[in-house]
Amino acid sequence: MDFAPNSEQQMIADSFAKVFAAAGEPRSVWEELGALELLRLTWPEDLGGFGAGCSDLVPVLSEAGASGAREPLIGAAALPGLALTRSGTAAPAVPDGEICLVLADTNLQLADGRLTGSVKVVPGADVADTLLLCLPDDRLVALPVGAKGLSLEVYELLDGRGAADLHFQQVELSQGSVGGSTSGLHAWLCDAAAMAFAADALGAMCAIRDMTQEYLKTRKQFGKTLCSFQALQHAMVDIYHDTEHFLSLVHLAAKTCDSDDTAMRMRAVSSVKRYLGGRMRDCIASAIQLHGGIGVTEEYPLGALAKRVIVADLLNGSSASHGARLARLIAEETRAELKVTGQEKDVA
Amino acid sequence: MDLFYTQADIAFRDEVRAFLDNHLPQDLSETFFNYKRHSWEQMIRWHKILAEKGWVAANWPVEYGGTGWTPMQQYIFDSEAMMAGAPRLRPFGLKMIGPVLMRFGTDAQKERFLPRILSAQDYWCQGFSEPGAGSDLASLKTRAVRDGDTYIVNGQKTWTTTAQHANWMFTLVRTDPQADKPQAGISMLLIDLDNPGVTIRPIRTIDGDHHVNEVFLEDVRVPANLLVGEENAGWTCAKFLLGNERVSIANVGQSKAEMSLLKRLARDRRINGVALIDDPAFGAKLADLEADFLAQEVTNLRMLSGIKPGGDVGPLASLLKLRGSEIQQRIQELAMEAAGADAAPWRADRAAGGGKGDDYGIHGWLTSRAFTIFGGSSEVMKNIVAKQTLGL
Repeated sequence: MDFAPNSEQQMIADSFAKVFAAAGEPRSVWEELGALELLRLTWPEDLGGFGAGCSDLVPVLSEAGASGAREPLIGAAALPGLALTRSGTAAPAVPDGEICLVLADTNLQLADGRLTGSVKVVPGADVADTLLLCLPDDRLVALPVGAKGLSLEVYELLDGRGAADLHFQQVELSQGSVGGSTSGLHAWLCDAAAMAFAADALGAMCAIRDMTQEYLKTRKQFGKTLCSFQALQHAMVDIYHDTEHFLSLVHLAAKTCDSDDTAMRMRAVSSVKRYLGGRMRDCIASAIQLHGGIGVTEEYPLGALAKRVIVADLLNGSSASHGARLARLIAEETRAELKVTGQEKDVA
Repeated sequence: MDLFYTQADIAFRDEVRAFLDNHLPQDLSETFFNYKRHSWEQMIRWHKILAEKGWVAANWPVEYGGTGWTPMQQYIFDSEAMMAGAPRLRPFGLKMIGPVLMRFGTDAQKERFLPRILSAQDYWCQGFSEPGAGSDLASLKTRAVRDGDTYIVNGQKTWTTTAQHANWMFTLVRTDPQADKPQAGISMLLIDLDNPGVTIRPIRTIDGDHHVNEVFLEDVRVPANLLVGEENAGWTCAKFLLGNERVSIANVGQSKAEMSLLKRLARDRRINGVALIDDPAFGAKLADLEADFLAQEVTNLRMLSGIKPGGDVGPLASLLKLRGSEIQQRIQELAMEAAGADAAPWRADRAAGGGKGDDYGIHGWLTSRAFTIFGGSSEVMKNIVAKQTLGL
C-alpha cells in the first residue's frame, strides 16, 4: 500500500503542473485548463466529464497547492462535478458556463419556493455564472447569479483565491431548478469539500517543508549553516514527520469519501481537520520561525503557502467542531460495541 | 484499514480470526480485557501455540520457517491478535537476532539457533547498553579478547530486558580498542548465559516491576564460532538490528488494541453520573489521540509496504518509533486519567493489574516512560532522521 499516484493520475497531475508553470501564457490558466477538459475531471460522463473520485483529485489538488495557483479549482470545478455525479438523475439541469457549488446551511431558508438568508465565504463563487446550491435536505438547486433578489459580495481569501458572500432576498426558484433528494448528499459534500481543501493544503505544506529544509542547508549564521544546529534540526524533523502523517490522513480521507463507510469517512475527515487546526498550524508557524525575519515578509513565497494551509484549516468546519464530532463518533462506536460487558464505575 | 484490504487480505483476516477464536486460550484474552498484563508463562504458551501453527515468525521468510507474509498481512495478524487479547510476543529472538542471523550469520549459526527461536527452546536478550553507553552506544567498553578459538569477555551490560528469563544474549563487545572510530572496533557475539562468569542482577523500575537487569561478564569464554559477521564489523549488524527493534517498538497493532481498551474504560467510567467518554474535555483528548493513531496506522503501512520479510527497514524505523512510542504513552496517560483518584493507591503487585482498570493506566504510564528512551531515545531518533533522511 502506497499512495503514489497511478500512471493515469500522474499524467493528469502533470498536465495541471504544465499549465500552472506556463502561468497564463498565452491563455489564462483557467481557460487553458478548460480547453484541455481538465476542469471536468469529477463531472458525470454525460456532461462531458470523467467521473473521477476523491482519490483521483488528491494529486491534482496537491499540485495546485504547491504551485500556489489561485484558480477556483475546488469550488468551481471539483465540487460541482462531485455533487452532480453523486446526485445522478436527481440533479437539476445545469446550463453551460461556470458553475460553483454552494454548501448552504440553516442560515438559508427555502419557503414557498423562495430562498431567503445568506451563505458566507463560498470559494469560487466569484467566477460563477450559475450557483449549484446543496440544501441541508440533500437537494441540489441550480440558480443563475443574475436571479432577482440574489447579491454577491466578492472578495479575495487570505491566500488570494476568490470567494464571495451570497445574500438571498426572496429569491424565486424557477420550475425544474430544484432537483430530487439524494440521501446523505449534504453531509458527504461537506466532508468532500474539507478533504479537497486538505489535499490542496497538503501540496502547500510539502512545498513549505522542502523550502524550509533547503533554507536550513544554505543560510549561514555564526559562521555555520543553520542545519548544523540541533535545535533547528529537531524542529525540521517535526515538520517533516507531521507532514508525512498529514499526507497519510489526506489519502485516507479521500479513500473514505469514495467508499460507502460513512462512519469511517467522518472519522478520517475530522482527523484531517484536527491535524490542520493542530499539528499543521504548528508546522507552518515553525517553518516561519526557522526562516527568521525573511519568513514574515510578504515577498518571500512561504507566507502565501502558509496562508493556504490556514484557509483549509478555517473553512468547512472549525477544528474544535471536528474534534467534537470525532469524540462523538468514538463514543457512539464504543457504546455500539458491547462485546465486553461494561463495568460501570463512578469515580467522582 | 479495511478500505485498503484486497480480497486476499480479507480472506486472510477471516482465517486469522477463525484461528484466534479456536486457539487463543480464554485466560489470555480475559487477562487483556480485565485490564491486566500477561504473565511470562502466558506469553510463552501463546508463542508455542503459534509455533505449532507455523505463524510464530510473522516477519521471517518461508525458507527459515517464517510465514513469508506481506507487511499488510503481518499487520492484519498482529492487530487481530492484539484486539483479541493475545499476549505480545517479545521481539528479541523473532524480530531482532533472528533476522540478523539470516543476513549476517554462518550456516551453522542459522541451523543451530533459528529453529530454537521458533520453538521457544531458546530465549534471547539484548546485551547492548552499558552503564557508560546509553544513547551513545558506540562508546561501549565490554572487552572481548581473542584467545585461540575463543573470546574472553569482560564487562557489564545494563537495561537488559527479560535477561532473567533468557538463556542467550546477543552482545556487542569491543574487539579493537585502537580502531579509528569507536564504531569500527565493535563485534557481535552470541553468549550462552549459562556460562561461568555470567551474573544477572535485577533492576526495579518505577512501575514496581522487574523488566530489566544488569548483566556482569567476568572472564566469560565464548567460542569464536559464535561471532556474528566479521570481527570489528558488529556495528553493521547492530544498525540492522536496531532498525527492526525500532519498528517493533512502534507497535501499532498493540496500540490499536489498547486504544479500544481505553475507549471501553472511558465508556464505563462515570464522573458525577456522566460517562467519561461524553466529557468534552476528555473527549477532545481522545479525539486527538484517535487522529494521531489513524495517521500513524496508515503511515506505518505506507512506509513498510515495500519491505520484504527479513529486509532492512533503514532510516524509516527512527521515524516510526518516534510517533509510535509517543502514542503508547498518551494511551496510558488517558487511561491513568480515567481512573482518577482510584489510580493513586499503591499496590504491591501492579504488574497483575488492579480490578476494573484502576491501576492499568498508571502502571502503563510508568512503564511507558521507557518507550521514548530505549531502542534509541526520541532525541537520537531525531538526530538520525535529520542526518539520514533530511540530509541536514
